[in-house]
Amino acid sequence: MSEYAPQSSLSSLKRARILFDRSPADAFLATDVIVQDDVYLASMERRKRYLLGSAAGKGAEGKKSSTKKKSKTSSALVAVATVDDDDADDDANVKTRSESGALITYDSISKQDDDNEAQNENRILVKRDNTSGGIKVPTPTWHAPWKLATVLSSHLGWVRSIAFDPSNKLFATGSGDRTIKIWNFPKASVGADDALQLTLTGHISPVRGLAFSPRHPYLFSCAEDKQVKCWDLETNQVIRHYHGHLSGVFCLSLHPTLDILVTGGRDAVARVWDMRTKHQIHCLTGHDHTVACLLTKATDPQIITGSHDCTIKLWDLIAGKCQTTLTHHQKSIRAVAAPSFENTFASGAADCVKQWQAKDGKFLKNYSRHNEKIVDSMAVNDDGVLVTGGDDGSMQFWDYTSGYQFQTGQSKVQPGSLEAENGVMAACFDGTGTRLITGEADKTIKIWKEDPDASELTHPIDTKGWRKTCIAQAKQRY
Amino acid sequence: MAPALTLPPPRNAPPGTQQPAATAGKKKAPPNNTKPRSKAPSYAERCCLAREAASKNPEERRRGPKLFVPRSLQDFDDGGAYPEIHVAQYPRHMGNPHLKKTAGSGAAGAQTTSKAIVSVQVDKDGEVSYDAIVKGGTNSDKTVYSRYEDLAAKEAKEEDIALPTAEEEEATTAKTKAALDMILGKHTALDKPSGTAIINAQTSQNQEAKTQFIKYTPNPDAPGYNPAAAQRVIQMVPKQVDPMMPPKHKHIQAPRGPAEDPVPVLHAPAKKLTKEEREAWNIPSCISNWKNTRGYTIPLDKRLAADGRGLREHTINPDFATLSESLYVAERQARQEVRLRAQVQKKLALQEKERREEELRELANQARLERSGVVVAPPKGGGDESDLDDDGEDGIKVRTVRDTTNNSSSEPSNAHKIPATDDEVAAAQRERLRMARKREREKELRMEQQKKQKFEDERDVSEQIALGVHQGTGALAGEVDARLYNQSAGMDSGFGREDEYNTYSKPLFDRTAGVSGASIYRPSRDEQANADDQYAELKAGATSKFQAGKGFAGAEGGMAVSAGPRTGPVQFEKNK
Repeated sequence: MSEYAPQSSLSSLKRARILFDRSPADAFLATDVIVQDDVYLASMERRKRYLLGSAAGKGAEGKKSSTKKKSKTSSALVAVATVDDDDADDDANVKTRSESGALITYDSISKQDDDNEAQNENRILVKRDNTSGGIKVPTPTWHAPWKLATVLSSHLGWVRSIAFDPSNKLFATGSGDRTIKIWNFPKASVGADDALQLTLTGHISPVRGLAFSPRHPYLFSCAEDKQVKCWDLETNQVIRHYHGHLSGVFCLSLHPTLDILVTGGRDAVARVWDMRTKHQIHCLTGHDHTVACLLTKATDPQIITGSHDCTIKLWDLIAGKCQTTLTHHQKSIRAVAAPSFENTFASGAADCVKQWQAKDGKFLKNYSRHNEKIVDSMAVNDDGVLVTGGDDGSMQFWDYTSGYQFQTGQSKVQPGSLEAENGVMAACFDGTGTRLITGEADKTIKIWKEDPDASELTHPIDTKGWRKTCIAQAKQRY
Repeated sequence: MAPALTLPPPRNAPPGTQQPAATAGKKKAPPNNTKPRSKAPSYAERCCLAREAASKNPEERRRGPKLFVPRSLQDFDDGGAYPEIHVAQYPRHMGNPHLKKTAGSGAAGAQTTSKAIVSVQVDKDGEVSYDAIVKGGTNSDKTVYSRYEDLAAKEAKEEDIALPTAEEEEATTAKTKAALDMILGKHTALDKPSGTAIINAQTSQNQEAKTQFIKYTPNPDAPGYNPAAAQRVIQMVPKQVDPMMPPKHKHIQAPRGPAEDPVPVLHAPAKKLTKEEREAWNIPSCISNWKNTRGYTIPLDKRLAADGRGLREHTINPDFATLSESLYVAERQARQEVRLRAQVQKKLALQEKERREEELRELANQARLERSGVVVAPPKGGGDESDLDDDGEDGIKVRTVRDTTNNSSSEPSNAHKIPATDDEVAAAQRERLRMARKREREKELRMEQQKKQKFEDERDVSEQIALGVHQGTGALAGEVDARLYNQSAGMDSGFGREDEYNTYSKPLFDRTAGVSGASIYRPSRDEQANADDQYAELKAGATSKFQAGKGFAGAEGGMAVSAGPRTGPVQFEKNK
């Protein structure tokens, strides 16, 4: 993941944007709104500490963090905050106007590793009712709506898995037609004819999981034929088999720092493999049903599995034992996703999408208005856009941090397909987070991008609706 | 009291001597306070005690030694209840209600505490933490979310969701790597065999090493001993194994380990499905129409469901409907046209008829006028009679004729009698001829009919029956002899005497009604018809005895040919 793209040029470009964009907001923020009381100062202190820590961490690990978070965003936040002020009066449900009238800063998860003055501006303002015990309405970040850019149809079956090359030049798709296809990403994103570079055959059942190794020229694939294969992309051959699953393998993930491969499948276990020796290190048993999705992380819990038995398990990789079982979901969990900018993860089931604290599995929030669609795929990009793809072709776009659903829609089937073949089976953002690739049940691969013409004026945030949702959620009884 | 409490009771004290002293203080001794008895009294002892107690009056009994009542564990002596002692007994304190009161304090309480009971724990606020039960056992080293707060959405603290620092990551990675390397080390050690494994491995070196040469001296006494080879050398080689042979072992799913303790379920029960939803998700069982290796009996509806026939949508070509519609329309139109045409034709016919009538009326009118003497022009149409009448001659003649007829109108027959002209004579002639011919025809017809009738009447009965003219009286098939009914007295009663001729309950023909007896008893026409033949036959000495119409000797008419046809059966007279 380290050699993603031209980071230096991007950051310099961003710097320029910051310089030009910030000034009007600056004036507004600094003079009018901020009352520098004790709470504010305390929060600033905390932020400083946090930022220092995270900056150090990022520098050392060389990971791509959310440095691409545009400065545009922060000004947008301010604008939203003011809108909040305006229509706070007519909303009878919340007493937003507090007695003291004090505004306190609500720290967003901003990871600006810029200088201090940049920090000052990057905050979200939220009015908090001190007296009513505080129903917090987090201000959603504005995101441009996404629209379909390109459709690639070459597969002969459902496209069930997508993986991106660390260099962001290639991506691979695995399908129900038992093949893995490798695509040239720049060509594919413009829909060029020669985008398809390679078709790998070898599996004898639908390919359910794919992963490129960031440290080796290897592609890993798992399929419903119980096989886990390691492909050498220099010779395009299978060089290793990881033998041991007793039934179809449904998900696959590579450990970010260790040469370890984790697979989960219909035999209700997750297996940890040593990449080189092909030995099974651990067999993580405990689920009662198919393990449908997996996450691997560098810190504990290093493995997170979601299963059809409606539980999420956090695993202690060292001991090979379950660390925590999360039973909040009512329906089987088919997708999990973790963002790169904070230590949380989201899980999607047919009942709702939930966000968790990755450190210990503490439940954080529900993503409302999910409409009980069966979630088959999830992906988060660095801007904090969470996309969930449904079994019926429905797609929802959320602001990851606040849980605001800013876009919902239905994927269109390619002409000649049945209506029932509308389903988003896999979703993946590219390395930069500007393109979304979805693998669909109508045998196509669709590439989505943000609408360049959209702005906050053309696609405003539904503040009222959002406030109502938040309040409804806060008042929900369990 | 003091020595009794401090000193142990004498080992073999007679029953009853110590008891009052021990229980004197308390009326009802709690079980833990009963003196520990090394051994419960034997059956004989208890019987003896009971007998003694039974002999005493109630007052003495109360004061006397207590009967043995098993209370403590020792009393039961590791056995069950005493069936002959009629008090509530609790061996091993099972279900002992008295024990509960003292559970916390005494030794009996300690006896009943088990590992299943968790001691009450309180949290830092002094509240009882009820989730202690789910946090123990295998969950003791895990994070278990069991509180209400774990259900509600909450803001995460910054530091909790901060990305891990590089040091943290490195530390975790190093720790994990070390742990996993250890596990892997074991695996790889197994991969690299040593000791016997190496010796037993199928390598070429090992093959050589294991090859043995054995010097062998055959037994000279054994059969087939060859003295030329008194010594033999045997080479022992390990058997070759195909290295490409698939492994003999098979992966099977390992049985599950001991179940982990459950964690609290933090979600509401799933919404109950409605009937429609359930039906919408119903997947019919997998039934093949081609294979049924186990030979299950499959209900027909399941078979049909498996066929997918129900899923197929039947579409009928709309042209069928169009066709039938247009056929219907065309038919109706045709019928309409036919009706219209018929109407038109009828109207035309009516007009024609009217026209005819009009003509006739005109003619009649004309005739009337003519008759009254008014000269009129001959009718333009010209009927047949007029054609016949005037042969291209003038109308004056006609007029004169009419005149004459008019003159003699008082006696119309006169006109016939006195034919005035040739024409009239010819006409009368023709009329006469016509009448004669008619009469002739009628006569012929009559004769024909008569003949036919006669022929029919004279037909032989057998022919008539064959032709179905006669039905007989018991016409219907399957009808039963009426005498069979009402048979209370057996066969003898209804059938009369033995010699009586009453084979049939009814006559074949009802002589009184329709069929004439004459037709039956008259000789047939054939036999009578050709007298010449008969005569010839007679001359030739024909043997035919019976002749139609010939009387019987001894019968009523005698041998003489009876006058006229017979009208009934031949009746014989008895000889006197």
